[in-house]
Amino acid sequence: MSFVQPTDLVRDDPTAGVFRVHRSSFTSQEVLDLEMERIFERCWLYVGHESEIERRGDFVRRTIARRPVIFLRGSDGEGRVLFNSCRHRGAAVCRAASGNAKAFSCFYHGWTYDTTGRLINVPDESPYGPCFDKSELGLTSPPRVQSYRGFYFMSLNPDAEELPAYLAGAREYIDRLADQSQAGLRIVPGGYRYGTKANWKLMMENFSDTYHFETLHRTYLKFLSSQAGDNRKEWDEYNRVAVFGRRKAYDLDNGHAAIEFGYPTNGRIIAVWHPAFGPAARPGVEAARSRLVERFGEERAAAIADNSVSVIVYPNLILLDIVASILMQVWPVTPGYIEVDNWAIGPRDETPEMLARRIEQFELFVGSAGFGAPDDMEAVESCQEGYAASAGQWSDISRGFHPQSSGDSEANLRAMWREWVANLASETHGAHDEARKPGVGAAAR
Amino acid sequence: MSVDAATRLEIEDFLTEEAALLDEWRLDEWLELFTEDAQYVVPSPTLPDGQPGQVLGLIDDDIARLRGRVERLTSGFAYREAPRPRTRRFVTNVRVLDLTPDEARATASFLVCRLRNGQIEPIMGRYEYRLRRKDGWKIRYRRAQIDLESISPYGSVSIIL
Repeated sequence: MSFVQPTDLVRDDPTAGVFRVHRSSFTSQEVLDLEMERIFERCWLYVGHESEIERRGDFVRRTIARRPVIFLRGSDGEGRVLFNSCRHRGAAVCRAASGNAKAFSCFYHGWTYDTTGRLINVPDESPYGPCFDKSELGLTSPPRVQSYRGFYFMSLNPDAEELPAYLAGAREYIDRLADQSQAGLRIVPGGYRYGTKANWKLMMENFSDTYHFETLHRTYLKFLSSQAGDNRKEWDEYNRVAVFGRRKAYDLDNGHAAIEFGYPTNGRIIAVWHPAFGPAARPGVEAARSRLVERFGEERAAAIADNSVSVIVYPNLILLDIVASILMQVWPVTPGYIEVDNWAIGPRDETPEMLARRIEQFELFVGSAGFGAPDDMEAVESCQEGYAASAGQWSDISRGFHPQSSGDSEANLRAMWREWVANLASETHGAHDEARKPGVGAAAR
Repeated sequence: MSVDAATRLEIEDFLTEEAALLDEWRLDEWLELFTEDAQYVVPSPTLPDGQPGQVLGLIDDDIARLRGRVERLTSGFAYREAPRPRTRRFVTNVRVLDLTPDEARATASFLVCRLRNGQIEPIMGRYEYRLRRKDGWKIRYRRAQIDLESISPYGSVSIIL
């Protein structure tokens, strides 16, 4: 179905407590085209973490908003993003997935660039004549590249606001993650990509949707329970109480949103032990928590250590800081197909034993062969198939919206959708202008 | 120790029978093939040679987690695989690389096809086994390295490869 106005795609009625999204938002090529133009080409997009480009000359190839880029550290020590396309005819100058390089030489005609993007060599230069100026033919960069606490972002929008302002309330959660270790964080090697036959927003919702947890992931919960040994009853009760009582949703502004679990779910590698980690891991985990208390005091340490959280860093990054810390980035390919990048991130100075526990917990739940994520994929693919039933239908995102409702809330998902519809409706160049709908504010409803 | 034809054939038969158990979804019987200290590994497609437990992988199961995996798959609540898919696996190019009186190390090529919801998903790669002789052969180590560069377009590797 063809839509008339982007604002027709979302019904946001705080009085009635009704929030609905028209299902063509997930199926229409027109919508995706508009999303590419007004979201992915305007917002700040995550590119990579500083630990991936530790030494001068380190590089990683990425595709960001359909643009081939090289994320690298130049010989001058600066983290950079360069478009991976030779200024001569356009071929990729960097063809390895990652590595360390002194220069990038195009395999087609041999134009060569240094790690700051400067064109340093052109074979047989003289036929170009006297006006040929290598200094004007360096690899180009996206208009904006900035980092926040080691997380690099780029924007194709020259007028994008500064990154810290854009990140708004999401900064708090990046801070909590970055503060987990004094030595800094690092991406655990081996991150990978998987495909899913669903719309990108369905997956964004899914990673920040806690309502499905007990239904869809019962096999995961059952396995964890079986691992809890003598503490089984205690942990089952802990989960039961927490699940129904403590979750809180937050609108972090600019489309960013969080859901805090209000407790350490099934333990947190960083600082809360769970029987599934094994008794040998206990002293290390408890010592890590003590160090956080020493560094930040009990209150801040508790925020960092004890609280599992899922954060939408709008538009397409998820920070899932649960038993392990996970970054996921969702890339639309077609309205009904996405590619999802998955990374584990943890303290740089982690012991091999704790790293092993972290990896084990990642693999167990969010891994592509885990006891959780495959069923998430099945669910979002099933939703996407369901949209063929009737293009005229609406999906409901109203939990916790009615003024008299209490308990669990999907306010985090509504925050994402409100920014989405405001972005699509905005014809101007600024990523975040005043096209918001009434009824939107910091209040998490 | 050199590998005699009879042992090679014995190991090839073992792998063929194992594949039949998996294709027939007789997963509880399949579990019986493993030793108590067994390990089942599927490395990350981006870093196949990384050390399990020190780099991210897809699967690094000990026997407890492997039992949990089978229990999950046969529970009816592992929705990705329930209703269960059809699978057909081809195990070929079997090589016995090391042989001692107690243990054998073997590799093989595999093509596992998963069929579900009108789609065919072929996953190909290489097995590595360490088998222990104990009333026939038992699996002490089983590694399935997939050749895919990413898990696309299928998403998950939630069947037993």
